[in-house]
Amino acid sequence: MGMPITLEIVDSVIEDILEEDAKIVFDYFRHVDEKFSKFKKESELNKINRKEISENEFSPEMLEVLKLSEETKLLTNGYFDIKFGSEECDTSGLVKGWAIYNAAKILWKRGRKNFFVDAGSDIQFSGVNSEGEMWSIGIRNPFKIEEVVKILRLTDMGVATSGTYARGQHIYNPKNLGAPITDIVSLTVIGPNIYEADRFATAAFAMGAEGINFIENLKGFEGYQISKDGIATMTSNFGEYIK
Amino acid sequence: MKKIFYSIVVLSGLAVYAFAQNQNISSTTSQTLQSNAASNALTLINTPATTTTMAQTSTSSVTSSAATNSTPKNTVQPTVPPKPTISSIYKDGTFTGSVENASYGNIQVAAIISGGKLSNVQILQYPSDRRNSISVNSQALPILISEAIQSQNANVNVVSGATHSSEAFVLSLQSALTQAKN
Repeated sequence: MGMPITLEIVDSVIEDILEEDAKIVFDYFRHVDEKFSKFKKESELNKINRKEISENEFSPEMLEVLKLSEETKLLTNGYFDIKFGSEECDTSGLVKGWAIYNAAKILWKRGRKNFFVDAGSDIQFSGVNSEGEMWSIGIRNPFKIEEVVKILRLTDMGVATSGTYARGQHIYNPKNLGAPITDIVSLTVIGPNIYEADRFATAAFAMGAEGINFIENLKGFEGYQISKDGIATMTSNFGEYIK
Repeated sequence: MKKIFYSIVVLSGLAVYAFAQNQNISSTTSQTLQSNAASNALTLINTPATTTTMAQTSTSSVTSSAATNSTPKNTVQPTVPPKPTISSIYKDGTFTGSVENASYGNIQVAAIISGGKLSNVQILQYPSDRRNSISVNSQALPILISEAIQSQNANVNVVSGATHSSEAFVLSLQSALTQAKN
């Protein structure tokens, strides 16, 4: 159940301060995980799902995330929904991008300018890399995880990828066995920040092949979608970010 | 220019927090630093962190990483197939895993055990079956450029790729393997 979190800061400040930056950021991620994890029995999310706490006892962060989730559901025609089938909530589709963006805000507040924060391959970029250039980002090949299939250059934006596990040769649609499947295995979204990129990547991916059109119609966002056949489709202005 | 590079793995469940590894890349200014960011580590990690860090050359850099880890009782590591040491405990057959929520839909897998080993994993349900209920207006859409994906040869600072489904995938596979146990 792991989520690798990587922080790279290239500002010219003394190590002690960078150590402190890192500690604060990672403490923040642990704090978020404690609150929103569905795998931790005593997380606030699980307490809510077990109805052990009532709405007036929700933490301000929980209320914020629930509000943002509702808003996102409306913006995505219901494709983003934290409730599935039951009354149970799962906020993981939104919390990651939200937390990464909050971590970046912490760093900005502390005066850091050039860094990225990467949690589970969703990344907020700021400033420039150690060569003083825009950050370079590879889009992972969903069929060969050690490869990248596109290289982007950008800064002060967020990049999120939604996708399915790189699957074996057998793929089924349980509702319609034998129907041809034109499914999408990976959708990468560039947005004004990682919170925005992540939530729309999650929702657009759920739309299947139509997802890229949803991104095309979103102002300020670009996308790169890869189908199970290895065919990529990109939004009109995606090329501006290709290295 | 100084650079600091940290990574951790946040895992849900019991938090076993550890200082996993420490590596330095030094160069012209031969500046190195032993990170003590995780000096408040509670317990030594017992499985290696699954983080992949991409080291890159720069005039001076400091790299360290720390990890939190957890071992929820019924969890397998997201590496498929599992290690041969545990695969022999399974009986042959096809075992259907539980339906797990992957945020944007459900994931369900079946584990096929052959010769006591996990020989294949079938995907029975996956989120994109929700495409059956698409209501997006498809009129007046521009024709978007398509291309065959091609491997790129270049160093990059960081990689973005799909990870969302892995948790649900592992949970479903775990339940399938539990059923396959002798």
